[in-house]
Amino acid sequence: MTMKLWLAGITGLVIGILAAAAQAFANVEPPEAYAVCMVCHPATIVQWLMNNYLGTQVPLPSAFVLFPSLLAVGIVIGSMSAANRNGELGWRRHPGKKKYMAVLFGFIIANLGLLVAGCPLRIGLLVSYGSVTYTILLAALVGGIGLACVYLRLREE
Amino acid sequence: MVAVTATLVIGIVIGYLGQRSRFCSIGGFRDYFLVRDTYLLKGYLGLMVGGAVGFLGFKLMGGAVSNFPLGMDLPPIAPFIAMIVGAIGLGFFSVMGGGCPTRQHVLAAEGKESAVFYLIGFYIGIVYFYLTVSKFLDLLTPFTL
Repeated sequence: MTMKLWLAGITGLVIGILAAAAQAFANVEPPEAYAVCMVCHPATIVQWLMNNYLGTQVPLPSAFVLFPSLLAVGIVIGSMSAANRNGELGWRRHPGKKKYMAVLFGFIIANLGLLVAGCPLRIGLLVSYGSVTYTILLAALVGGIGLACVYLRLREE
Repeated sequence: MVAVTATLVIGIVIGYLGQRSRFCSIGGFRDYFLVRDTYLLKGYLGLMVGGAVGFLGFKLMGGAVSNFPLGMDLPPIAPFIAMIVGAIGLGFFSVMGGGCPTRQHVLAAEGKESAVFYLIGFYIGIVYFYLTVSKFLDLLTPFTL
């Protein structure tokens, strides 16, 4: 029971340590604290495909010039196997409007994430790395989350 | 190739644990603000503690942890303002979209249709950014204090 209460905390701890280990010993740098980022790493796949098949010259991080990061692929494999093992794998449909709003949110979040140069995970890792810039950006991120919560509360009322 | 393999292995671990724990870096703050639930927030705090311990420990062990700690690494003012606005928007729209990009990848892998649609928009958004937005951002760089 206690283990279940702390499972998210343990997951976060493992992600932080793995991210540090990948940078320290598997050359997933530069830039700093780059080993886990769910905006930048999926972007390397897109950049790599664009450069190789559309003839663009989008600069890639040195670690992923020859082949793109497989972090997103790994996450899909890992979560599929966990869901399959626990009987939670299966297609769940949603109403039409929600689906199309999801496309829009995905589009916006990709652009904002690339503007910030990191997803919320990398922002947290850069705070651990001692970055003042990303400490300010974490405060801004939490502010944005707070604004959304206020909006949701007002909409409910 | 070591870096590529490392990201695949880390991805599988994050995916497996993320599916079991419902880990979401946005959901932690959202749940705390809305219902004072700290379960997911512990995940984000765990990430920062794990990162800090890992970076410091591996640096002491001789690993490649360059420029640690980063300290006052402030960028020029115009891009920095754009980044702050971007971070506020990232937080706002991630709550409205139902979670962080990591959580959406996990949900899509489980078979949630709206998360698959989210990822379609997400990857189109990345292409759009590199073809258009990044060119406008280059114009901001000369504006410094």
